[in-house]
Amino acid sequence: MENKEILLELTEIFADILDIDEVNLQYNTTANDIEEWDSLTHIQLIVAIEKKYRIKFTSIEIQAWKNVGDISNLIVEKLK
Amino acid sequence: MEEKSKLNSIVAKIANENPLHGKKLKENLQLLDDKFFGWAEVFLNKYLRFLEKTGIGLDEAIKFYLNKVNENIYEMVNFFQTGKYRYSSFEEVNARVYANKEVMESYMYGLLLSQVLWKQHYLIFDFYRSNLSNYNTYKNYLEVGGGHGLFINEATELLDHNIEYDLVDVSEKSLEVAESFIDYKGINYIHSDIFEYESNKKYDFISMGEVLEHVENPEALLNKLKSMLNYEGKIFITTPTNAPDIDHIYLFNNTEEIRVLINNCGFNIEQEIEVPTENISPEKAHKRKICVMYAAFLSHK
Repeated sequence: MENKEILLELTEIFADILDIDEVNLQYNTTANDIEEWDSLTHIQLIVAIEKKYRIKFTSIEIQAWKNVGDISNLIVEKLK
Repeated sequence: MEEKSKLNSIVAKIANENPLHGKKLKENLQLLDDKFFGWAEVFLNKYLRFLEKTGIGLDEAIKFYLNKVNENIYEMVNFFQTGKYRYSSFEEVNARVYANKEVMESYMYGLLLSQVLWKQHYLIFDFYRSNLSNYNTYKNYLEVGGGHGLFINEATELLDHNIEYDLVDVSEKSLEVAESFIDYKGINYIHSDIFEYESNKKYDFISMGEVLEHVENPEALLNKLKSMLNYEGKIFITTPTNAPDIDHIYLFNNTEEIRVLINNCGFNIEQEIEVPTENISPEKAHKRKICVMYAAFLSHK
């Protein structure tokens, strides 16, 4: 899968978990750009992403995330 | 104001590394009052002196703190997926965490910083220090699992110096960190598992912050404390509900389970406080399996 495709799917996951109709997700989007993306919804997002792609993140991988692009890159990497 | 900017500068560094966590810290700091910022000033000065003394830079300490935050996120993901803590054996976490000096060092420096950054840690500490002087008739004081030593340090500053202070911890590294952090030199540092600790003394006051969740049988631990406590003595305990971490093995699902345990062990609750880690009621937190910090002063029934 490519980053572009992942970004579209992440947009759906974010909209669902954060319960917002429209999410304009970009690679450089951070928690500062979306009010509903907080420490609690972050856990739910990770749980939903792991379930969707049948992957597991390590604590070191989670630590490296600063924006949506970092999440997307890691998903691409794990699906290879 | 200068100290407020020192705190803000630490938060800004954290936010730069981890925007999501930085956002949470900024929101929480807005909810705290001048009393907090006054204490934060004193604490940060002491923390920076401690870093200097131990040769750890602030950036490194922040890195340790962020490691802790991410370990927590990692454990929370597992907790939401399984409904359980990842670990259940003391032997396992003892080998992996308490007896591992490198892990323990990072853990203690990070945890100390969380005292000034996490609203719930500050509010529990404030509950302790605001009420401790009410019990200022002690001859001796025992702290169990003192970690970085913040609580017993506060006792040495608030209470009389003719009190005998003992600090028992299963981790040698913790004792080393506590000894560097605490200014008062009259504390007996004892490296021991509390279950194996034997003393002829009966204590007037026992403090045990965030230890019950680290043992397989919290009832046995409270009974052990009871056996070491004078009849008129008091105990201060804290423990969280729904708080997955790298070394938490006993899960309290809600604060009522903690009260039942206290009652079953033959203690009265003299004063208590519940502080959810998110800005919601304790009831909602229990329902959503979100951590609530619990603290209480106890006496014999």
